Amino acid sequence: MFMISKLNEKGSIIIAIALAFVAIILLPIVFMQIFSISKPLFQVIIAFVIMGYVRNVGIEGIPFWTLSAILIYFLAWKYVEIASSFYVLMLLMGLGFTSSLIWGSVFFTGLLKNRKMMKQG
Amino acid sequence: MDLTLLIGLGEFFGDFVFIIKIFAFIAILGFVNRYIQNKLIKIIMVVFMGYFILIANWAVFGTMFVIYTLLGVGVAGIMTDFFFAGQNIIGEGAQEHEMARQKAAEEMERKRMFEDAPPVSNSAGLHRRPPIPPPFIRR
Repeated sequence: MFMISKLNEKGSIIIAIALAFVAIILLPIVFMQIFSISKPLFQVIIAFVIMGYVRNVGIEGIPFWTLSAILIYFLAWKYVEIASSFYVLMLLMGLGFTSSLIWGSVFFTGLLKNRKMMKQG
Repeated sequence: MDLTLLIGLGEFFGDFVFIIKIFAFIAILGFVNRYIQNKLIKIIMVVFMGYFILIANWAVFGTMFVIYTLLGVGVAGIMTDFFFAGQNIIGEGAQEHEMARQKAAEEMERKRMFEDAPPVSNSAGLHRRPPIPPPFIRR
């Protein structure tokens, strides 16, 4: 019984972590819905990131423009919402914020549980 | 309705497979650019590797490329944090569970000893079982 309650607690932590990640993933999409200027802003950022990536690999000339154009069409135009979500997630991963997300979720789940136990007496 | 959804999903996955193939092609071009100087050998290698990776064995190399990219992005760090976050709770629970299990086993052993013990007679000549030893006495 004790083990089951602990497993339930782990389940609630997993849900909290998943919710935190979903919130981060949905953040650019919500921004695009609220502020209309953010969509072209994300498109420009993604286009420059793609061009920088292709240039960084060492491709120049016609292959550079062709591959960049294909990727920009798909990622900055057709699936801009998914690409911007992935870009924000990658940015936060690069800054090491995902650790804060996970451990913050664990901390706040414990805090909520303590508050619930205090209310129950 | 279902067919439309299916076609939409098919288009979506098709597009993403194409995008991953483009990224893999860029990786091949980068690899060849970095290690080969001769232009003719460069073109031959790009054609050969492009055919071998992107067309002939895409199921194998595509999976490997996606895993490699995810690891490069830093998914392993997230997984490490995630497993550490879960381990704290499960570790404590397992420890307490093990203690409770040991306690129950000791209790059962104590009862079994009492049942197996021969009856003793008291001063009145009545047969009775010996008293159950208290839990803190260990064999």
